Amino acid sequence: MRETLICTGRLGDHPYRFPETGVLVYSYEEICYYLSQHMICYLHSLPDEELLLFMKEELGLEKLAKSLSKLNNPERDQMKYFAALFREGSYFHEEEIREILDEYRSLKNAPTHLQLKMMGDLMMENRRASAAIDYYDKALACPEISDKEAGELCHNMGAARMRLFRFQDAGLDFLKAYQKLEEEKSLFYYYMSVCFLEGEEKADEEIRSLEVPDILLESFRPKRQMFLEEFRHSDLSGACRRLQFMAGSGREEEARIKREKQVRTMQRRFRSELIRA
Amino acid sequence: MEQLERKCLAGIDLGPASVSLSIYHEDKEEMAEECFPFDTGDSQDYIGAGMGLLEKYMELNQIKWSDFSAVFFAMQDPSVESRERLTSLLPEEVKGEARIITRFRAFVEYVFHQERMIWDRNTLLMEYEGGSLRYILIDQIRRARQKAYRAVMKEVDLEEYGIKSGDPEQDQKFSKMMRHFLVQNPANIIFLTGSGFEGNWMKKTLTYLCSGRRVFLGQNLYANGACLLGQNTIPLMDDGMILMDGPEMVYHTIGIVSSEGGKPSYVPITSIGREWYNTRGFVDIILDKSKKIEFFYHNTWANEMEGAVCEIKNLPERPPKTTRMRVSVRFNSQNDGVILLKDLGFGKMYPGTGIVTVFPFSLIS
Repeated sequence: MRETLICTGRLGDHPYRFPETGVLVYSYEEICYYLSQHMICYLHSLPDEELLLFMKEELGLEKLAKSLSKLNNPERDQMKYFAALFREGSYFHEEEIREILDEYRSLKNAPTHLQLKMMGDLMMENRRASAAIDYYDKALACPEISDKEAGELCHNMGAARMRLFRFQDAGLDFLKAYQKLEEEKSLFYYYMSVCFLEGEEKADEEIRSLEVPDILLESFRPKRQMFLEEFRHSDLSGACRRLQFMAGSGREEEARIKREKQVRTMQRRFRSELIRA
Repeated sequence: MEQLERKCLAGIDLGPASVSLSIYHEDKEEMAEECFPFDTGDSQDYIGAGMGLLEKYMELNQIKWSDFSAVFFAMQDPSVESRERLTSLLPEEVKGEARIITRFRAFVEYVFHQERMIWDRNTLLMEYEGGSLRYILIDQIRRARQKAYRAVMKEVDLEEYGIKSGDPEQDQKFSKMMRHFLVQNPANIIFLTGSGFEGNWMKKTLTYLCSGRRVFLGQNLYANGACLLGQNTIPLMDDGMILMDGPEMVYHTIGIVSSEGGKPSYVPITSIGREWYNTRGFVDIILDKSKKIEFFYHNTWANEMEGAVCEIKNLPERPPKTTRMRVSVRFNSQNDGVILLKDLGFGKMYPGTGIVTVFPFSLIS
């Protein structure tokens, strides 16, 4: 007999936004799923009271909200809070709940710099580059960090700075990462950031000055071409070409309005990258 | 100060001989009743004639359809044609709001809206109309803590007893028939309705019926029942505790098996005890790794269960447990219907496609 999972509560008309990532949720099941994937955000805290209000008013889960409101001590009540939340419905089996809580426990026991790196990576996944940089910075300041871990952090930091168009700082991060890890990917991104700032010739020169084998530099060029090609086929590039065509065919005013709208959309999307931790 | 909006509910019984109207005023907490018999020529299109009389009554009393927050029609013949005919005569403002139920259901609603002593023991309705006698018997079929009831609607063959309207021996024969009937179908509460009981011919019958029983005679039972349904639904019916054995009535529940406290349990999506065209239900479910859902059809009459597996196709790839499906069930007749499964996705994390899977079902047992 096949069992089916029935939803708990109703779908909310207005969503709840998790402040750490900006993710919107509309149901109890989405809350459970989100939390199970983002337990790292709650190592020293609990979800805010707005979430309880959302459960009560939008999802009709008054009883659950009331019982969770009593568990408000972040240091003492975290396990009880998540266990009570996950056990309210049947979204997770008991075994799954135990696994999530075990993983949460091991996250809490992980070294601080690892916790901070994970938070930084999570911020990157959620288009929050500035917040990611804050976490990577804090992780790099931890005394117990190894060279390998520092290299990985520098690489990720470089990627975050690239997102903010800070190519010069990003280049330095990738270079530091290459020095610590000696990994090709960090060197390639260093090459790319120099390309963006000073062109391909200067980038070639920089790579040669690092005394890396010529064959490595040779492999970067087609890889860069692939990146450019990929961008050429992206939605954004397509939209730009359409606007150019529109402007060139005597529809300047229409193209201007569309361009402004596109810029506003990009600005709006970019805004989340600037939110600090 | 602005006056609070008050509810005004209407229950209308459209029969071949008359139209009855019950209006419940929530502010006064009282029920007003009217009954309009048809002229002899009106039986051809009794729906049209009934609606015409209603319109006249409402015009005279300055009542508008928009004054009613809910309108319920009880019909003796709720066939597709009759329902379509009625809907075509309704004004636009009530077309979507009005609900049509059978007289059978209207009586059961009437009974279960009364105090417990009326329905807790066997209750009987005899309808004597146009020379034929129909009855509805409500009896308790489960006497456990959670009680269950069965309502049956049947016709009595009057010819078997030689009963004819206007016959000088009608009272005696009717009384004899009732004795036989009540031995087989004991009842403590009896309702009598229909024009057949008019004319002061019942003497022996009434004497017999009234001995040790409570007997009520009334002509507005169906309209009252329909009106009471507008006030609130019966919890026993919502919980599927009233099995209605009659035409148009659904006695299968459509459901799924879900885990409750770690144990599998059957969760019905639709309930029994309503007309097939008034039976529908929905539930939101989450798909696990598999894209298959097993539905179960429970025949409450025979207590049999059959299952069917529905596979959902054309869904985008998503992690397990990140697909919410809205399952809606509706009937196309007493024994078949359709289950619609709509992909709602998983909020903004995995947006829904809105794809609807249609899964027809046929109830064999």
